[in-house]
Amino acid sequence: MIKKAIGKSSDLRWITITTLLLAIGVILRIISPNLGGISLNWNIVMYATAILLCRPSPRQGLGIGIVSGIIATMTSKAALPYANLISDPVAAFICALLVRWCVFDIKLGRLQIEPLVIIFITTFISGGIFVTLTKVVLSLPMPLYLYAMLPAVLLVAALGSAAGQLLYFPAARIFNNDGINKKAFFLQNIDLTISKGEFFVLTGVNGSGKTSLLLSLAGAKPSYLGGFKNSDIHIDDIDIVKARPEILNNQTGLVMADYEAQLVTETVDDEIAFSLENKGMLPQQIIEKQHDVLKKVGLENMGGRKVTSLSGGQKQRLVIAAVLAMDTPILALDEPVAAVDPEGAKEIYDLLYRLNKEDGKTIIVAEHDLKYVLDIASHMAVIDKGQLKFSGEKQVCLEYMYTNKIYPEVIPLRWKIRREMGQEVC
Amino acid sequence: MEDTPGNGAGSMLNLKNVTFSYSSGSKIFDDISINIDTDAITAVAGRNGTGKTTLTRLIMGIIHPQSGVIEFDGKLISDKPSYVLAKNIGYVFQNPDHQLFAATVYDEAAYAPMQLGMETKQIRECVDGALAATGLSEKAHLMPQTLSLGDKQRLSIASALAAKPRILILDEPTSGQDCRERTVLLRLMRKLNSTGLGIILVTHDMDILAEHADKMIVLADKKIAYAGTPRQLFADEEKTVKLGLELPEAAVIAAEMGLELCLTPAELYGKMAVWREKNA
Repeated sequence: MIKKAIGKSSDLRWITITTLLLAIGVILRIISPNLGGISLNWNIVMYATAILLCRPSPRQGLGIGIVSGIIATMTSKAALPYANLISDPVAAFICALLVRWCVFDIKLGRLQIEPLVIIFITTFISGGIFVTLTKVVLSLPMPLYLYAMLPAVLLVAALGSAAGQLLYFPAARIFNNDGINKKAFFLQNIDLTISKGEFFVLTGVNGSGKTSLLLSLAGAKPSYLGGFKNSDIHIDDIDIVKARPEILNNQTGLVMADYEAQLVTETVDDEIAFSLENKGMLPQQIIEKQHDVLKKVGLENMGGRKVTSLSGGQKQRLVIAAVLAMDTPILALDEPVAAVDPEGAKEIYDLLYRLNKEDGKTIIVAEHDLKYVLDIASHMAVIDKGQLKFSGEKQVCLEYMYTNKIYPEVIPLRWKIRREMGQEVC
Repeated sequence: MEDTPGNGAGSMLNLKNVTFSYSSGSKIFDDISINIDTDAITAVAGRNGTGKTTLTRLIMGIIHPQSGVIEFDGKLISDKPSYVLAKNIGYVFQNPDHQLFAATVYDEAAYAPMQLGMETKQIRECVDGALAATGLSEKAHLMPQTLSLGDKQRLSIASALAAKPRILILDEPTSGQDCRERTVLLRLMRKLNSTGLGIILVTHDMDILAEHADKMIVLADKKIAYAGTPRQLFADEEKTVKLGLELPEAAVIAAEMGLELCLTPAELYGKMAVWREKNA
């Protein structure tokens, strides 16, 4: 489901970016001037930049290194070109490891200097292995190795890291934005903490950024679209902006506004099994889980039904069941009752209330109709034009919206009357 | 106001003994008869699956009843194909993305008049009128997909209006819209109705229905379970709930406060002022 979509997209993304940068690297390497036997190793700069941009797994990093090694072997004019087949894979593997562990995620003032450090280390490792192999295989004299070859590697690494650092920012702008060159960031200066066990409602007019913020909290947006600058999103101690999709999937279950888009199988049972199979769960456990979650959402005995035969409310509950099956501590839902009739809407909010109270799930809902959530939400936030206007305890937030006239239309009639006539009247 | 929709002289759309089932399934409607007064805003309500959308499709001639007839202005229409009826009956989908496909807002609104074979000058008049009525004149050159949801929904209405229909069917027009967009849309609906356009409003939202519908039809168990004014139905809470509907929020609060039936927040505030004076 969501996981698959994200996984697939990032597969294509890292392959596309790496291939493109490697191709540019080869061309630059062929055409760049050679000064006193020293020239910039663009291959390494490019694959290290690709790794910095895509943050692939170390295995994928190794793959990138092997491809680069083959290209370098075929294009190199060095005495022992085959050394590239070892030096590049090892360096790319280590590069991917360093990037994945965020070892050098450091800033000099406001300047991110991770590219500088990573490309220097990668080039030095690759170059070091290359010249060492050359020395050993061709039995070159030690002084030549120590006083000429190794310093040359250091120089190339320094040049490469400077070039890479300069290249990284435009490259990140091109590849890590969602394709639209926005003048300003849409979500700005949002400071928001949601504690474990809260029933949290995020409200605002259409286009105010509710969905963007919800998807960011769930990690889907940074992972899928990128474009997050100077942002720090954490679930416990997991860095959401950098975490891999599979880690995010264990934290947050996401139900999108267009829930139909999340239904991918033919039958109800298969829908629940889909994500569990992908997770590698045993068949017997899957069957137990199907039974549990379908019972929880009130769809027991409907496992064999075709998904298309369900009503809107039932489909919505099925999506929730499929997400529940993943056992995430957080559930994020984008307007879960927008396309459901009033009876279905009440059932869904009753269900969410029970999941929050009985199972201790943290529930985050983006919603612009507060009628159903008025009595069950514990905390609220209101967002307007990408800025968080207020977040806190529900009553305090509603009071803030009421007195400051921030989106007052959305405040439920019942709350207004209680506010004006006293809590006990209705 | 009449108790039963369409008993008066303005009545134009009549369904007589209509029975309908889709080829695969059981009956959706079993011998229903109803007169819809096309001067009014008539709401169609009922649980999911009771045939609200099917009823609108029958009226539009997209599907035809197995037995019974539908008449518009006294003329038989249930044997006519939908393109003949399109001149008189406009339809706006719940999800505007399902009906927007042209490159610009103007072209979108011009599509129906072009299909109806109008002359260029006439098309321009119709489109300009429709865009002005829906407040989209300024956005005529924009691409429909770049509009906000509220604008898209109004463009769907403009596209229907450009064909100058006499009845406009709105299927859950406020779904997914926020309070502000909803207010603009409902105001537009009332304005169009005041210019003589009949509105058939399919909705789940009883707050909207109570405030804006003159008459309502409730579908249940293959029949018309209720036809009359919203006030009459909501006065009977038991019946309302039995039909799968909920009372409008104002009505629920009024009941809790021991006030008489209120259908709208404004009415509730009015009665509350009196209540406050009494209790002061």
